[in-house]
Amino acid sequence: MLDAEAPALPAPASSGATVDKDHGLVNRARGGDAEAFEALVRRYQGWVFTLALRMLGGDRAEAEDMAQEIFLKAYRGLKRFRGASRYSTWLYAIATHHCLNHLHARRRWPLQSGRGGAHPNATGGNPPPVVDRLADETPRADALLERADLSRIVQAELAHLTEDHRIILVLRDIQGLSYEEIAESLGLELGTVRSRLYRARMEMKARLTPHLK
Amino acid sequence: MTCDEARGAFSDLYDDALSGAALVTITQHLATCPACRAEWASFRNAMQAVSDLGGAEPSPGFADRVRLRADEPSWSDRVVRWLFVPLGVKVPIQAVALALLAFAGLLLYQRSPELRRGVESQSAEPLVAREAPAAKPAPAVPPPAEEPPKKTASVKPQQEAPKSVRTERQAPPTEKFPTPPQARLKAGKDGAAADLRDEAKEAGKAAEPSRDFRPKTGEPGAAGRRLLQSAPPQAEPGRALAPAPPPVTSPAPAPSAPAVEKEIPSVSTVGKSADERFSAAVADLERQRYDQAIDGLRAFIAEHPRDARVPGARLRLADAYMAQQRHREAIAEYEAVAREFPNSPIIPSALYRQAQSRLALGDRAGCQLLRDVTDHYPQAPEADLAREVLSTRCP
Repeated sequence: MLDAEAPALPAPASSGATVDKDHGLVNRARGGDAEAFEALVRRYQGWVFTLALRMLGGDRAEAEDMAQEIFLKAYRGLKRFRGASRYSTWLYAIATHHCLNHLHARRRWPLQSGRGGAHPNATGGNPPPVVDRLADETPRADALLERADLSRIVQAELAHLTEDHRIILVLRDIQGLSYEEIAESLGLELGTVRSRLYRARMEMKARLTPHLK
Repeated sequence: MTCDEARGAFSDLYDDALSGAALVTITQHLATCPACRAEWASFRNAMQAVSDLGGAEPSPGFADRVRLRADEPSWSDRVVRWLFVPLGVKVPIQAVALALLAFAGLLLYQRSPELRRGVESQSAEPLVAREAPAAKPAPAVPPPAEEPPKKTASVKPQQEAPKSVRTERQAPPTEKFPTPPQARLKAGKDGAAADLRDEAKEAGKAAEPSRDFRPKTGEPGAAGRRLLQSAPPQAEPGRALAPAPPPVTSPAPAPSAPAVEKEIPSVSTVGKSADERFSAAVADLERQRYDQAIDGLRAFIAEHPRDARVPGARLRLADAYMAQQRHREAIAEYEAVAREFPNSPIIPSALYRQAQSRLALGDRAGCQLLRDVTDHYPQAPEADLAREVLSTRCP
């Protein structure tokens, strides 16, 4: 439970770019207001769940568990939130680090982490090639394409990227974060974000091009 | 602009992050280069496919579930709460429980000599290292002499004897009797404890003598008699002896045992004056008033020759002489114990102490006595001590 005596955060800056729309809810949640915290959860549950879902390869149940853990971690860390950044940025940082830590742990202990553990054919924590997965799960890749099930292919290929490339692609091209927000969430320099995003995109383009023709 | 440069700018172009000359240059290149234009289209389609994955929503009730979990205390909070809340109740309870546990453990250890000996025999550590911690000063015990024996018929469990004797023997003979090493002192205590247990047994005639103190071979008492006969004669009075070396090891001064005295049965057979006499003499011995102790013990032995405590009294008498460095008289008394009470379990103790007195006088016959103790009473506590002394004084 939160410390009910947690001091209120300083008022956000008045300039539009830095106004934190969550300021009021965060202050109330810091004071132990469960309703306010629930409102924050509702506001960001889609974002956090999507991040978890895309990073975990599309397993909804596992992603939901992870999203819960992320919110609980944020809830218990609210008293340490000083308001130096926006609540959303702070939450993004918690979420991205939690996802990366989870993936590292799953790679190290594949049987203990995650619901079903690693894919039986997985090597080094990466999922099997998409062609193999599709061969296992569906009749033919072209049949998937015919059914416009492109998202499954994309999700599978996304899971094939390294974790660093995957998360930066998800944050930018799915979640729509700015370079600055990505840099703050991941603790990277802007130039690093830009170059890493370029490499991730080029790799993803190379993987998807055969399926898109 | 080359094709590589153009493709290197695709990511920025896709994000609308190019402007000015860079944007014009790449736009012109794409307009004139079909390959790069196809690459750009492919890149854009791929990124669009990624973007089309889009967001997702968790299952309904997600926020409620999060809130429910948030209301639950964390495991660390639960543990802390379980341990300490309410603080004013649980901490005292835990402290009392811990103290009781420690007390019970200590009690169990002290009252189980078999367990203690088992632990010691299994330990591969040297004797000194093993016993040094146990030689810490015991809590003060009220003077034994003031406690008259109270129990009459039944012999209490004999495990109680070592504890009381051990605590009473903490007072070392500091001036007249050099303090022996701690380990030897402790072992000497154990030996004395056995003596006094056996004394209680003799008095009560109710318990079997501990087999630990039985001779190894032969029937009880036979070895004592044999050892007595084989012991070298005492030095003649006036005979020149080698200068007495410092005493080797010596047991603690004469035993006294209020708790054991409580256990001495058959008080009905012993007159009250005997109790008082014996208790007073033991108290004198405890307080290192050796002259008074010797007088008292002699009087007790003379006045109550059939009392069950006479063997113990003679052993104490010898101890008092030994504490005063009157080794010849001590040897005579130790020999008398072995001669007059050949069936007594205190024989190994009497032999061991006689050996010490002899060694203190420079009489090498003490070494043979020590070997007899280790050979014939290997289970007695004195056997360990005898082995130690043999290794240092009788190489």
